[in-house]
This record gives sequence, C-alpha cells and structure tokens, in this order.
Amino acid sequence: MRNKFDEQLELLNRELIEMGALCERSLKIIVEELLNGDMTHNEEVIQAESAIDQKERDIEQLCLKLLLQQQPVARDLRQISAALKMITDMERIGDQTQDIAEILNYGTLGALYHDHVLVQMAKATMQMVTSSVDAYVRKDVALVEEVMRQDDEVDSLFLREREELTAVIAADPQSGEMALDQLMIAKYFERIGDHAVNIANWVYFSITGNHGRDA
Amino acid sequence: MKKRLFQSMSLLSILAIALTTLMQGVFFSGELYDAMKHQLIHEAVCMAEAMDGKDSSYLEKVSQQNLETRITLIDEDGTVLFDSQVENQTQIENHNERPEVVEARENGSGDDVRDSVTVGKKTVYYALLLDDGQVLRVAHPMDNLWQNILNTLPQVFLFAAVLLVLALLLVRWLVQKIVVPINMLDLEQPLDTHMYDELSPLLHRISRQNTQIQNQLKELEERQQEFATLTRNMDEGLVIVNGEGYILSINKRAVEIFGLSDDDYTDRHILVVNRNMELQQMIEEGLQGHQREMVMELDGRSYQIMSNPIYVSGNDVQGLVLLLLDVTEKQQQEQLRREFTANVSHELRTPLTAISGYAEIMAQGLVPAENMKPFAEKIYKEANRMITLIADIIQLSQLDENSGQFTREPVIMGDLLDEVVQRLQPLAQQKSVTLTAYVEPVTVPGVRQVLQEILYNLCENAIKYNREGGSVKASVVQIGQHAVIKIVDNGIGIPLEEQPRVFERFYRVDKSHSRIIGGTGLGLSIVKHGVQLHHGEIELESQPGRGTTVTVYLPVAE
Repeated sequence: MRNKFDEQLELLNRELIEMGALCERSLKIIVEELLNGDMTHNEEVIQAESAIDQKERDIEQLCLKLLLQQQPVARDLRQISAALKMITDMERIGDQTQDIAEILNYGTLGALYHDHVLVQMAKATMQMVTSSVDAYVRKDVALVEEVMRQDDEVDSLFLREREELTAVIAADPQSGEMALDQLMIAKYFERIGDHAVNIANWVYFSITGNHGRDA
Repeated sequence: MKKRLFQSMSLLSILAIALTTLMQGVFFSGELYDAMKHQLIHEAVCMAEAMDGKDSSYLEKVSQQNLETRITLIDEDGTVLFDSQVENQTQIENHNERPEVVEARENGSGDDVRDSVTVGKKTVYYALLLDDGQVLRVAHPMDNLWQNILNTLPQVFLFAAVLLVLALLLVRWLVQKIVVPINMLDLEQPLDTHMYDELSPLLHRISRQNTQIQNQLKELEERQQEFATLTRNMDEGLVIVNGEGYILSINKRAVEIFGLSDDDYTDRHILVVNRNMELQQMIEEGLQGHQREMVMELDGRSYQIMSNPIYVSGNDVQGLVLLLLDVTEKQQQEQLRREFTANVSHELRTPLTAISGYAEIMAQGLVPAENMKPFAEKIYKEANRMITLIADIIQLSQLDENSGQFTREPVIMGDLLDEVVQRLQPLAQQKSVTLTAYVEPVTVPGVRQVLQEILYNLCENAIKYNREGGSVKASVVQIGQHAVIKIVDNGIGIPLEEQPRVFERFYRVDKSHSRIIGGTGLGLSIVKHGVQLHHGEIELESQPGRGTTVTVYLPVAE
C-alpha cells in the first residue's frame, strides 16, 4: 500500500513539474514575441491555456484521491495541500499569459512594442516562474528567497513602465490606446510575478512546514 | 529442524513404549498362567488334605474366606456336590465331561484353561482326584492379555509423557549444539572453523563460492570504475534513464550542461533535471523505441541531444541513452558559412548585373558611338572588381584550407614593407595622406605572397579609411622573438561595437561608403587568416575619429 502511495506522490510530482513547464513555455514564447516580434507561435500560447486547465483538473483529482484514500500525514500532507494551492497559481499564470498573447494578437502595440522596460519585465517574470518551479523541483529554499528578490525587481519595473507610459500619453495623446494595452501587459506580468511568489511560498511551506514572509 | 527432529524422536519413543508394553504383556501372561497354576495345585492339595473324608461343609467355610478361587466338588457320577460361586448346585450340569475332570480321573490330576460355561470368564482349572472317587476342582479366573495391558496403561502414559518431555529437552539441546556453531560460522573464512567432518564439503563449497563472488565483485567494481572514469572525463554529456524515465546514471558534464547543482541525481526522474517539453517528448518517444535527435538551447549554448533506446533482451525498451554534444561553435560556423555564401553570391551578382545591363544597352544599339568609351570603361571597371573579388575569395579559401601549397622561405619583412609602401605611394598621394615607413631588417620564415598581402591590405585600409591630410606610419621592428609590424593611422577609426566584427568576411563598418571606397570586404579577413597561417597574432586598437592602430606579431623562428 505504502508503495502505491509513493508511486502516486511521484506521479503528482511529475505532473506538477509538467504543468510548470507548460507555463514556462508559454511565457517563453511571449518573451520571444516581445523581443523580436516573431508572432508565429502566438496561437500555441492560446492553446496551451486549455492544456494547463486540463492539467489543473488532473492534478486536483489526483490530490483529492490521495487525500481520501491514503490519508497522508506530516510532510506528505503538506506536499499534497501545497500542490493543490500551487496549481491554482499556475492556472492563473496560464490565463494571464494567454491574455497577453491575445493583446499581442491585436497588433496595436506598434512602435512601443520594443520597449525595453517591458522586455526586461517579461524576462524577469519568466525568470521568476522558472525559479519558482526550480525551487519546487530541487526543493531548494534558497531559490524561494531568489523569487522574492526578483519580485521586488518586477514591481519596481512595473512602476517605471507606468511612469514612462504616462509620459508617452502626455507627449502624444494619439498613442493612448497602445499605451493602455502595454500597461495591461505590464500589469499581467506583474500579476504573474505575484503568482510565482505564491508558488515559491507554497514550496517553502511544503519543505519547512511553516510559511515564509508575505505568505 | 527442531520440529522435525522432535517429531521423529517422539514417534520413536512412543513406538518403543508401545512395543515394550506389548511384549511385556505377552511375556507376563505366560508367567502369570504358570504362577496361577502352581498356586491352584497348592490350594487343591491343601484343601484335599484338609478335607479328607469330611463333607462339603469345610469347603463352604474355606470358600467364604477366599472368594476369588472357585472351588467345586464333583461326585463320581459327575454331579456337582458343591460350588463356591453357584448357589443352586442342582442346576449345574454334569461335570464329568470337563477336560480337567476327565484328566484327573485318568491321571489323578488335570488342568485346563478355557472360558467357563458356568461363570463365563476365562478360567484356569485344576482338578484333583480324591481317595473317595470324588474330584475336587479349583479354578481361578484369569485376566486376559489386553486386560493386563490395560491395567498398566496409566503408568505407561505417565512414562510416555515423561519421556516426551525428556525428548523435547534433548532435541532442544541437540539442535542447539548442532545449529549454534553453524550459525556462528565465519562465512568469510569457512575453512578456518573445524566443526564436524560431515560439514566439510559444505564449507569447501562455501569457500569456493566466496572466491568466485569476490572475483566477480572485483571485476564488476573494476568495470564500474572504468565506466565512471570514462564518463566522468568525456566531453559529452551522458545520461542513462530506465524504462520509467528515472536516471540510472548521469555524468559530470551532463550535470554541468543542464546547469544543475552538484548533487546525486541517480534515481530521480529526468523531469527533475530538465523539463523542456521537446526533450520530454523525445524521451517518451525514445522509450517507445524510436531513435531521436534534437538541438536544444540551454543557457545560450546549443546542444545536440541524441537518444538511443536500450534493449537488454527481447523487444522491450529497458531504458534510454541520452548523449549531449555542445554544437554551439559548429552552429556558429554553419551560420557564418551560410552568410558567406549569401554574401559571395550577392557581391558577385552586383557587378555582373551592371556589366550585363551596360552590355545589353550597347547590344541594342542605343548607345551613340561617342558614348561607347565611357560605357566600355564602366564594364571594364566592374569586370575588374569581379576579378579582384574572385582573387580574394580564392586566396581566402586557400588560406582556409591551410594546405601545404604555400612554399615557405625566409622573408625580409623590412624590404617587403618598403616595397608595399612604394606601391601604395600613388594611392596615398591621391588621398593626400602621408605614408611613411620605418623598417628594421627582420627576417620571418613564411610565405612571401601571403605576407605581402597582409602588409598591403593593412596599409591600403589605413590609407582608404583616412581623412584628408592624415598620416599612416608603418613600421617593422624585432622585439624578442617576434617581428612586430605596426600600422598607425590617424583616420576615421572604427566604432567600439564594430571592432570585434571587422575581421569577419564581407563585413564593412560603413555600408554606405563602401561603394565609393571600393574593396571587397575580404581584406581584413585575408589578413587574419594570413597571420594565423604564420602562427602570429593580430591586435586592433581604434578610437572613432582618432585613428586606428593594427599590430601584427609574427614569430621569427619556426
């Protein structure tokens, strides 16, 4: 019985990593799009969202099954409950990535497109998601701290972007629509960063049993 | 062992007890009969003596004391006159036919053993003929054999129980005695322990097996060591996963490639190492038995990953070997080659288009006779450009191949530079650039033609990318084991970010000016390759607007 339980825990572990990988890939595509305007994979991001949703349901079912049938305790229980929370955050990341992809699809961003603050934000956010998934994979508390640090960076980048866009609108009211779209994208990135922080916190919880800061 | 030993032991004891009891019964019953007969004879004789003519009243008296012995007095005609155990004598049948009575009448006494008709028990009879013709018969019932055995049964049982307990203790002690030394056996050195001779074949076998196992272990360890050393030192990443995707072995290089911390990754799932979805898909397909290859970007470098399914026996895939090769340089070179080909075709087509265009106009007779000359000049100029270009490309490809076509000889660099400067003086004057040379007679072993090309290209560039009234100072001196060639100009210089790329083929700093200045964009590339051919080094130092200094170091000895 114990053996089967371990097997299922391992399956949960793998499914979680795969879900994280799906989110990472979507984000990576978005970053590439922002970097060099290559929109060929945009559709993939929009499709990946439903795959991420499906993964969330699968993992959720697996977790509930494990909780009901195996009645885990201590560390195992923490791992499973943390997984239940983490998939919610990952699912939100998938949604928001898809939202960004849709805005990019309108093609209204034009000249502002290659704005370097936004690209920097995108890269930093992707790094955060990667770090948080890495923290889970390697059960590394140091990486959790890293994610926290990166979140501060993303937050300050968001503020900078906001200021710059305000200046853009003030200088040229015509570009208001683009600026708004871009602000939305920036906001989405900022939110994705927050979800990455949540994931990192749940990783911290599942390893140590208590909540880190900001939990 | 204890149980089985105890079982057989107790079976044996019980069997022994049973047999003994039986034998005893049989033996004793014979003894008993004899003893009883003697007693009966004695009794009968005593009673006959005592009776002596008296009637049966004496017998009655005797029989009241001794109930067990049946006393019968039989008359001459067989009628029973007295019987101690039958109340009514008249009902008793005639006893004259009884064997012991018959015998007594013949011999004076007789005996018999049989079931009594009257009393209904197995009885021992003894009959004695009295003087008056009457017969006195004494009888005693005899317990039969089974009865005898039955009587002793409680004792037998008690005895058996005691014996069983004893057997149990004995077995326990025995087993302890046998087994403990075996359990204490030193399996490493079985021959050193001397216990029972019966065990020595086993000990020998164990010892033989020990050596065999040790040899195999050693061999296995050596192989493992060999494999580990091989994989640790190889330049490629190597990962072996089992049928479920768990890592069986991962070498140091692979850990580095995947950017992992120094940890033991055996028995972890491959997903933990890298969660790239294409890689996962490749592994999944690999585990279904398909050989796959892919190129993956990791940390800014490109890796070619090859997966090979492992079949141990049969058709089931038992695992997967992943080989990771760093192909960054290869890919970069591929990229360069592609760019070069594209550039070459472009550079060749431009003059050809011009030539073909002018020629076409001329062929159609659209050019008046007096304009023929400038047209022809243009065609000639473009054709020349193409020739230079092709010559450059050929030279570059020769340098690329680095083949032994070049004949090496001692070249006096000072003379060579003087020569080049002489040749370039007209160009310098045309551009109003002062070209001066300072030379020492340094001799370098090398290919004259290539060295000349190096100097020419460098000086030409220094003149071409200069400004009016600028200067170019060329010098050759010997410093230590190197001939140092320095071309210093105070021309337009090269922007910092462009500096690393100027040695690339067809690369030009100022794309718009290139047409006016001319040149193929291959000059510095040829220089670089030429210097490499002579095992030298080239340094470029430049400040935009201030000038450029190119320094070439060539070894003076082979």
